[in-house]
Amino acid sequence: MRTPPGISSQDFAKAIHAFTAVVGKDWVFTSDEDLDLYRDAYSPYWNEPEERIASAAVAPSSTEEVQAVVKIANQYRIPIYSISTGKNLGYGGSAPAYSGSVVLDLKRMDRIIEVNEKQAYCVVEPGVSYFDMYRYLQEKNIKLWIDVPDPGWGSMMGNAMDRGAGYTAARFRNHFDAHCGMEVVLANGEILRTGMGAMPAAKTAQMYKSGFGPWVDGIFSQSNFGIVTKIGFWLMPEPEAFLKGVVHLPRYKDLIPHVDLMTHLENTRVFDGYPDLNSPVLGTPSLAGLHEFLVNGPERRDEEYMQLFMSGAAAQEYEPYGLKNGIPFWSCAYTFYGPEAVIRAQWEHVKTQYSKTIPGATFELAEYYDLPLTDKQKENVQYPAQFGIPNLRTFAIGARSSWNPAPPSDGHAWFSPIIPRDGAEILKINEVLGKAARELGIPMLFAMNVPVPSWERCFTFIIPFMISKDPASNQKMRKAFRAIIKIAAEHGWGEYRTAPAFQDDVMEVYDYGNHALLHFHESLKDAVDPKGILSPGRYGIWPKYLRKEKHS
Amino acid sequence: MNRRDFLKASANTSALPLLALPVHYVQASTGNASPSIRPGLIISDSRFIASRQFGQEAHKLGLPQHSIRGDITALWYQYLDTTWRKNSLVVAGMTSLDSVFLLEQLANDRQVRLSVRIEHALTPDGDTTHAIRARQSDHDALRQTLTDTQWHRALAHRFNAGIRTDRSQPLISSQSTTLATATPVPNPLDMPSQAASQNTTLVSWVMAPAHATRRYWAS
Repeated sequence: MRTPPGISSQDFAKAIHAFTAVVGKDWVFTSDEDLDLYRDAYSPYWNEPEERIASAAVAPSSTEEVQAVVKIANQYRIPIYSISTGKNLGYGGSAPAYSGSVVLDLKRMDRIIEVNEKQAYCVVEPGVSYFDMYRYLQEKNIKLWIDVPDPGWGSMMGNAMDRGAGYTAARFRNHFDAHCGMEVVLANGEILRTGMGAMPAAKTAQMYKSGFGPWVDGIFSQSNFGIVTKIGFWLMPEPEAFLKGVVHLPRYKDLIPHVDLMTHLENTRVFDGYPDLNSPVLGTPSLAGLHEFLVNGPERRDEEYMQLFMSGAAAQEYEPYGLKNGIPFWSCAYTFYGPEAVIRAQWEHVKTQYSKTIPGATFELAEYYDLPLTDKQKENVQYPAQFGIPNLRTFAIGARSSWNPAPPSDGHAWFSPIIPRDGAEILKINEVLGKAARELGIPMLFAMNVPVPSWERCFTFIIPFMISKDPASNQKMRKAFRAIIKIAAEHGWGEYRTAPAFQDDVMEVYDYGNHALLHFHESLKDAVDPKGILSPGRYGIWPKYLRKEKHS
Repeated sequence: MNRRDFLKASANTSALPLLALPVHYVQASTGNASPSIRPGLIISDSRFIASRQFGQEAHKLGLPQHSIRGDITALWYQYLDTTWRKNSLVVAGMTSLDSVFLLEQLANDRQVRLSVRIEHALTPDGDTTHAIRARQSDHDALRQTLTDTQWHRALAHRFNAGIRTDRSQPLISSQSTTLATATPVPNPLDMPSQAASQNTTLVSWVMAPAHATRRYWAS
């Protein structure tokens, strides 16, 4: 049997026996065959000594069982790493941040506690997946939408706790921001309710977020201060209609006024859908068009284009080709949700503003649907996630190819810094990180990377780092990843989320005031989890007994 | 679309119809002699010749069969998710690496595990290698099956004869090779009309519940 570091096999056997008494023998996993399923399939340390692996896994079915498991872990000082369903591939999966931890797998806690259609919220346990909630809403004909990530197989709570994003309206796309109220099991086994839920008779636990006093919800995301066992989410009332309009812009320099206008239109709530930016002439796919791109590859181009491509031409050098062949340099798809008259008027306003601001702008009405969609329409929409429909089609892509360098059966780690909503900044980060990538040997598919506007006020700039099962190439990849974290930080770009293998490295660059933020995290950790049993190392927060070793 | 509609739609769109509801559920394990279990459902991927023929053969043998084209969303959402919550269904398939990778992850959430996994890949000489991982009790028979030049069809027969899913048996690994025939035949791993076919590896697999029929889930 595997054992956690520093725990005797006798103590571990006693702890396993006690866990079994709580959850039943079918729900304590200690065999290699079962524990292999808790490996991170995309681990950048695959089969190397540093790969983070579980010593056991325990799957409770209720908050009471979680409390009991936590008390046993405290008694034997067993590190436990909680996961909801562990589907965040590319950001760590179900493997613990501290190798040898016992994974606390919350998949069996899959109750949908409440859906309130009138007030548009739900309350769920950690094991409720996007598919589960979608099914529930569909089967009960509840006119509410969920905002799903892509792929949508994971846990609603898990994605929010990791601060993931979706693709419908702005106020729902930030999944952590869309939560309202939590129930948390603390390291001592006590149950805490946040916000209005702290008042036992509260009628507004899912209607008012902050309650009274410090609003502590944030400290339970991307952290290890407690185990969230219930959470509320605000859901999107099903809109009457959906419209997707695309703005096409002819010139490289149009990017800067475009981003300014896009941001103004979003900040003034002219639209609240997903502004999906891409460059047709550079061949970068839109997010909604990514699946099609990965399956079929880029559009075929003529000899003149291929010469540009093969010569490694800079992005702006593609402009004459685009102008000559009527290929936009930039396209941006705006999505609108609401009554038909309203969203058509919003789209007209967007067109008017672009016509006034950017010469040569052209427009295309790409999709319009009265809602709800028919079954046939659900199969034919360009991007199901923009309708709150979870899907797995991203996994259907298949073999590695020049335009699909990271098929799902291999792996990737996302490098995903947050950058300002500013066109000049997009050009700058491409210049800086493009140069760094070339020097570090990171394959960049396009002459220019286009960021994603998942959230308001900022962009996320994403570079996939390919992971294989070959230790030598993974070692090279890790070195490059760590280097680029530092380069980005020097320019003010910090990651919003990363895999456990790089969490210490990212936390290291959030170092204002001589690491005041990390020191605060550590003070909290010591206060609320003095034995350091909860998810040691998650997001760079180590308990006192491991701190020296991990920061040395 | 509800579950019934999915089954009806499957019948219309699959290369072969899903003729009947799967009925071969795992019986409660009662000790030493675990029985061989026929899969209650066969999954094939119509993009691949070998997989298509595997599915056709299974259909001829009377096994319920469903065909995908890479994307398992409907299969999961409309059928496997709900079925595996309620019943201990054994499912076998021949799909791309990505499909089986995804299904294995999802199956684990329903306490269903891979009992057989065989990766098929073509060598430059035209032979087909098979990396086998299976329970000891099935391993030799699977190795033997894979010496058949029509291994993809033969596997349908092997699965139809039943697979032992007893987890007390260790999983063991080995490699075998089906030699190329003197008469050229189409590459059964080929994926016509897909530009990305050159690196494709197919996987044959069986997934079975980790425990006997029991209802575990909170909801």
